[in-house]
Parts: sequence; structure tokens; C-alpha cells
Amino acid sequence: MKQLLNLYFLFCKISLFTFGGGYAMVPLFQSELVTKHQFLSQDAFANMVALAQMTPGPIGMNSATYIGFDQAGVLGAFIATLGVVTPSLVLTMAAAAGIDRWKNSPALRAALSGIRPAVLGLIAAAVIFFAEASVFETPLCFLWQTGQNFCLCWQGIVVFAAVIAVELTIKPNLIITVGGAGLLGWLLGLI
Amino acid sequence: MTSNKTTPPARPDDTPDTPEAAATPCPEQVPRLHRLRVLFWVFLGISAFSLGGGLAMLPIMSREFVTKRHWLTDDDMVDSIAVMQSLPGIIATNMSVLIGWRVAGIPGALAATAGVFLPPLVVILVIATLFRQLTGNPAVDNIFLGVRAAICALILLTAIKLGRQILKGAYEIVVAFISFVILAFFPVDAIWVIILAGLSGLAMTFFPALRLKKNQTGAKTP
Repeated sequence: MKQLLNLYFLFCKISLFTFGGGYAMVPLFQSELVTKHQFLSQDAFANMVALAQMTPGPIGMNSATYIGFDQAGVLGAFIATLGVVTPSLVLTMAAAAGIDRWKNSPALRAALSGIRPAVLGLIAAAVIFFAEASVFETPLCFLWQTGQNFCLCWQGIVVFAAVIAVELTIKPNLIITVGGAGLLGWLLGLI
Repeated sequence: MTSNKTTPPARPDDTPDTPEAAATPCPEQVPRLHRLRVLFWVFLGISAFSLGGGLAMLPIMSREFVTKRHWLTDDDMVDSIAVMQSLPGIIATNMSVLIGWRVAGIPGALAATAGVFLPPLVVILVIATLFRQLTGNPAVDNIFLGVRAAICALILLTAIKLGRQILKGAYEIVVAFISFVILAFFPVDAIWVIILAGLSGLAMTFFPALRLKKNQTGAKTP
């Protein structure tokens, strides 16, 4: 029971501080779930986000459902998803009731003028996080602490470059891009 | 199945109306229960079939509620998107509340959110169960390596696109750079970055002294 309540409030908190949705959530999830509560290892977390991206539905909700299930079964999945939805539901209803006042509030605009660029920083940090889990073999932030050698994963680099090239030219459906990347990863692994 | 369901509501709305009446949205003419049902199923479909989340869903919503049913105007959509962007939370849920509210009040908001809520719950439960049995298999690990590399590329492209919109001046660049460095290389809680960035935005707006300095440096650099 206590665990379920904790899950609920944890996901309420994450949802409350996510602006811009989707990828901006990755660093928030990471600092709460991997660093603080250690529900998952860094690698398992990267796989979880990959799974959330590959399956249809909002990434944040998919991740919450997955973690909830991982921690406390079906009920946990339900509670965690409910936790992500609650702040949206309450705040958005409040804003919808006074939509014009909300839209034109100078304090809100001021705060958002700072939050928007910070969200960009968050998303850029998510790039580094995923690079550590695919292109580099060692976490970058530990390089100067442990004196480990700088290792690159060539399969990851090939897939990364291929996806950039495809997205800048053909821009196929996301399912095809992600599915193709998985296939390419598998083929390169056979070599 | 859903397409059969979706065509009837558009008809009674369209046929009796004169052209100018059709241009103004009047969801009130449609029975409330029917509006709730449509909200639930449309958002269920959006949540179940759209990949990549968030912003990719917006065109589908405007097609369903503006173009097809005339329950909302384009202005309603623009307003909703503006409010959605200023609120925390998941884009899909925020939009479901805003649109559901406009179409059918609080029950509408709840019906639409329930539609968004259900598909991830079912889909992820099935997939998570399968995934547990698959980890450790080298072929699966290689597939996931590929997918992670793809996501890395996709997020990078998103960040570049966003950066073009957001980075307008020295202040934006400094805030984005600092939050990036802090998050990527130091074990700092992401929530504090958001809170501090919000406060810095407030300070910049309400203390003109700070803003003046920023303008001067901004004027010097080019």
C-alpha cells in the first residue's frame, strides 16, 4: 500500500515538472528513477525508453505504465499511470476554466520565458544520455573520475548516422525509422 | 469500425445548417452522451495509434474536431495549444482535457482523458510481460542497441529544431547551455533546473535592471 502511494506521488511529481512533454521527460525520469530511487539500472532505463518510443501512445504514459508494472504489477501500472495523469487533469481543468486570464498572465509568461530554454537544455541532455547508451560504451560523466578509456561502439555509430541521413532526406514514418534501426542493429551484431 | 461511428455525428450537424451556421461550431446540437462517446473513442484512437507522442497528435485532433465535426474552430485549437504549452504534464492528456472541456464540460474532459489513459495501460502491460522474457538474448540486445541509437538521433534532431525556435537571444542561450551542462554532467535533480529557470525568467521580466544589462550585451555582440 505504501509502495503504491509512493509510486503515485512520484509520478505526480515527475508530471508536474514536465514542460513540453515527450523527450523533456527523459532527464526527469532518469534523476528520479535511476539516480534517486534506483528502480532501474542505467541500461534498463535506456531500454525502457526505447520500448516506450517504439510502442504507440504518449512516451511519458508508456514509461509510467512500464515502471509501475515493473515495481508493483498490474495495480502498480494503473497507479503510476494515474499519477502521471492527475496533475494534468487538475491543472488543465483549472486553466480551461479561466482560459483567457491564464493565457495572458504576465507572471506565467515570465516564468515560461525561463523554462522554455531550460527544457531545450533538458532535451539536449537526453541526447547525451542516449549517446552514452548507444554510441559511446562508457558514461561520459565518469570518464574523468575513473580514468577509463574512451570507447566508441561502432554499431551504434553506424545506426546513428544512418538515422540522421534518412531523417534529413526521406523522412519516413517513425515506425519504419525505428524498426529499421532495430533491424540494422541486429544485422550489425551478426558481423 | 470507428469510421462508421464517426460519420453519423457529422451529418446531423452539417445538413440542416445554412452555410454560415455550419461555420460556427455548435456542439450543443449534438446530444451530450454522443459527444462524450465520440470524445472517448477519438482520443482512444489517437493514443493507440500515434507514435512519437505529443506534437504529432495535434494535426489529428484538429482534423477530427475542427474539419470533420465543426465542434471547435481553428482559434479554439490555437488557444488550446497555447495553454497546453504553458502547463506541465503530458501533451496528450493536457490536450484531451482542454478539448474535452470545450466540447462537453467536465464530463467531456474526463471522457477524453479516459480515452488517452487506456491504450498505453493495455499495450505496455502485454509488452512488458513479453520483454521480461526476451532480455539477455543477444539478438534482442543488438536490436535494442540499434533502437537506442535511433532515438539518440531523433532527439538530437528534435533539439536542433526546438533550438531554432527558442534560442532568440543571449539570455535563452545562457539558460539552455547551463541547464544542459548541469543535467548532462552533474548529478543534479532535473526538477531544480526547471524551478530555477522559471525563477530566472520571472527575475528577468520583473527587474528591468537585469533586462537592461541583457539588452546592452545583446546590442554589443552583433
